[in-house]
Amino acid sequence: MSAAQNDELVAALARATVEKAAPEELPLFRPTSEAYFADPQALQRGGGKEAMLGFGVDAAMMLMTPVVLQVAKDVIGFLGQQLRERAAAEGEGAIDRMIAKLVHRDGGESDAEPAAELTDEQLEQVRAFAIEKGRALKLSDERATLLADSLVGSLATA
Amino acid sequence: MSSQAAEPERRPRLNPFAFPSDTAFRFGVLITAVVGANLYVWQWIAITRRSPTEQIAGARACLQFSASNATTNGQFSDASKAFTACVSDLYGYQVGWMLGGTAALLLTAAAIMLGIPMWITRRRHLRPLTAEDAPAAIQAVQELSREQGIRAPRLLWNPLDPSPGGLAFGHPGRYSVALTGGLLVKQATDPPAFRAIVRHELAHIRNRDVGITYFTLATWYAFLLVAVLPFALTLLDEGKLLIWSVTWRLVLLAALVYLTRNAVLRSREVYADLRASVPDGPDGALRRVLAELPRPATGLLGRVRRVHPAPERRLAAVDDPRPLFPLGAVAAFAAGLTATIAYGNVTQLLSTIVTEPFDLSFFAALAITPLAVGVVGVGIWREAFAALAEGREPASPWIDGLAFAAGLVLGPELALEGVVVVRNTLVRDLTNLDGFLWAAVLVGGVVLLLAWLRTCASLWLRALGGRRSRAVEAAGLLVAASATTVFIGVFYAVRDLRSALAFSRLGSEAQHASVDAQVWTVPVRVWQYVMDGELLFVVQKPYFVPVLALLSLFPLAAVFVRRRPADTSWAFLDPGGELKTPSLSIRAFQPLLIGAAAGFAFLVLAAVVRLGMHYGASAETRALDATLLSFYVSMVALAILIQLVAGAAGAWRGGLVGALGASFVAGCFGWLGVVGGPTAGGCVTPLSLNPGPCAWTIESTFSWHVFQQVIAEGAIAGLAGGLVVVGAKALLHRRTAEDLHPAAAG
Repeated sequence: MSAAQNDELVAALARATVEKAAPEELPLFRPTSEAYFADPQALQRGGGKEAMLGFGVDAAMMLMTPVVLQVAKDVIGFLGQQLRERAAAEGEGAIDRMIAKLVHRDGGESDAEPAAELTDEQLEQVRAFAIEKGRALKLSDERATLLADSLVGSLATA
Repeated sequence: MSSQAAEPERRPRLNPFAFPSDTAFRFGVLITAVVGANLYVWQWIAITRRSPTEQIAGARACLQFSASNATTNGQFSDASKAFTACVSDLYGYQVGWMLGGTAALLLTAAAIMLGIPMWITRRRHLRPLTAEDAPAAIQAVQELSREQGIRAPRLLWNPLDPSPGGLAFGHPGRYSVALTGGLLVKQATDPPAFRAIVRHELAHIRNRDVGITYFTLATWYAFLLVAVLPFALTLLDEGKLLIWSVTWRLVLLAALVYLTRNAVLRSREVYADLRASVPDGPDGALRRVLAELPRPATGLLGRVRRVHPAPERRLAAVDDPRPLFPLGAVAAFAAGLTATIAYGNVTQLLSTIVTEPFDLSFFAALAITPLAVGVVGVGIWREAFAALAEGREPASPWIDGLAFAAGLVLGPELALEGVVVVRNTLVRDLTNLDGFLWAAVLVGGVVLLLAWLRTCASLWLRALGGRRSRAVEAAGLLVAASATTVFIGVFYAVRDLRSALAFSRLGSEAQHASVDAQVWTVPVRVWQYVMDGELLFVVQKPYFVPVLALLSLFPLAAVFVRRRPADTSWAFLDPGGELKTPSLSIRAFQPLLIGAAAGFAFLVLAAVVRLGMHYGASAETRALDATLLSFYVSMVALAILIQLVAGAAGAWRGGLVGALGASFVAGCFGWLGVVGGPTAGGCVTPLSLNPGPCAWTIESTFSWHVFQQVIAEGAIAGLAGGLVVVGAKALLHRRTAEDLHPAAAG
């Protein structure tokens, strides 16, 4: 799968998650995701330092979308690894199709393919992974959990 | 009880924007200190470019002009001038380096200033905020800019920054405001909070914080690049002791710049909050947003490193801005300290252009003192306004004044020139009585000047009632800055020329002995005070007496202002405020009347003395030069004595300002009595010493010199009399208070 395709998958999963976890951020989703994909490292580098003539709230975190994008990217990678074992027998190309199916980005082209479904155990693994990532990106426990639940919900209802 | 009834009554807040901010002065002092250090570095670099042999040969050539063999005042003066001119030529080559270094510093600072917006944009991953991204936010910012009365800034944003914040940056003519993704979401979810934060950022632009802050920062970075870097390279082959000596001074300078910058920025944040709070209204979102801010780490180090005050302090200041009006001892100390760091370096630069020691000292003081006085003076004036607006007396300026003076005393210790030039600075001389007295004179003089400014502010604010006082405040600060400049210039010149002054005293002593051998005259100490060559040299400087006249008359001129009802809405941030400024008592006029009465008494006494001379001494004796000189000195001494008495009487009700005013007015009469005596004698024979015409034949130059002598020497005497009275009154007041309120037993 190309980087652009991967970005599309991440954006789709993130958008579906933001719709559930922070719908008020949807109007800014497009420019935010564009900025993220242009330089994903900027999320880790930015913030944390008090700025001269700023408002003085730089430590306070309130925007979910960038974190959701980062977590979605990691989850997609995680899913790829999880499904790789399952799809080993079906060949490498099936993995991408399965992930795309999971996040509703197959464009209806693979109706003939069997639907990729995550087991409850795998969903719980994704949830724990998302919470951990959210906390690592300085989300509060409450918001990290909200993000994880929304993300798992997006996957489960895919 | 309803919750509404439980809410405290919100008083209209005093308007701190009614007065100029001290920000520009504080940053100006910092820039002066950095430029001063830069001057020294480039002088050092210039010295390293000239061979020691060449330097020594030049210095030896100048020694031939040494004044050590002079036996008369004239010889001493000529030799001093020749020596100073020779030394000035010897070091003239350094001026180009120093000026070139300053130009390089300022050009680099300008380049950095222009580059900072690009650097911030890159470092913070900012991109232009377009109408496609957030049309409602752009419209809101444009509306809020109009509300603040400024042009809408360029808008940038970082979609990935999750915090709900903003940032103002740029330079005059091209200001930018960066918004975060978090803040733009707030525009949709909590529009009042969005507006409160944007108003805060726009207030930084409106309050002119942005340009001056970044210029100060740019100057510091330029100093590191243009001065510290080449300086470090030249030090590589120097000894460890020298490198250590340079390093600790540079580290302290850096700490001073850093801490002052942070302190000023913290205060500017509060001003931005205040400006934003006005349109936000008492129930707006700003207070809520501030209350919800995360609490920063406590501890001294955390506090001084932060560029925003703690949220509870910001909230408290928005509700009650009165604590913003006084300056505070720490800021006053920093202003004094920073200002004098550059003094020696500026003197060194100017010494190649100005050779006369008093003028050199005056111009060096002129380069640094006004900014420092601006810092402290604005604080004093604002505090007086805040106090009088509430109907209470302004606070005493002693603590701030002492802190400021302590900074002035310590500043030269941090100067880079101390690396190689071992000078007897005030601090190093404190170990002996002489040095302690010099320091005491500097501290006392500066504190008195600040006390003068406080009294001026109090008198003028009372006189103006509710009228706005910007012009008067500017004039008061100008007079205070001029007087402090003259005082500091004269102080350092006199201190540097102690040995020459001793020589001058010997000259006046010899003059007294010569006259005393022929006719009766005043005691030698009085003669020396009246006729001291150096003192006369100083008081006849063109700036001395005009500044003294302004010091004496400016505060008392307030009594001539008619108090009229005025619109006082300018004094408050909120509607409905009422100024309670007490009116100016008619007693303020008393020093002028006391001076006039004392002056009239002098004219009577002068007439009596003339009558006594006319009938008591023979015509031959009256015609002697010694008699005329003795009579002149005696009359000036009498005028000074009268001014001393007038000063003491004026101080009884009017404090030291009263002392100055009364002695000045008495001095004007004294001058009239001294220079008008011959004319009076020409018209009324019994008043004459020698025959003369009944016409004004006194040369204007002589007349002006006498005026300068009588007014200046009399002012010093009047001030001394006033100090005695003020001190005695303070003691009496203390004893009375103790009698009325004896300390409780146990």
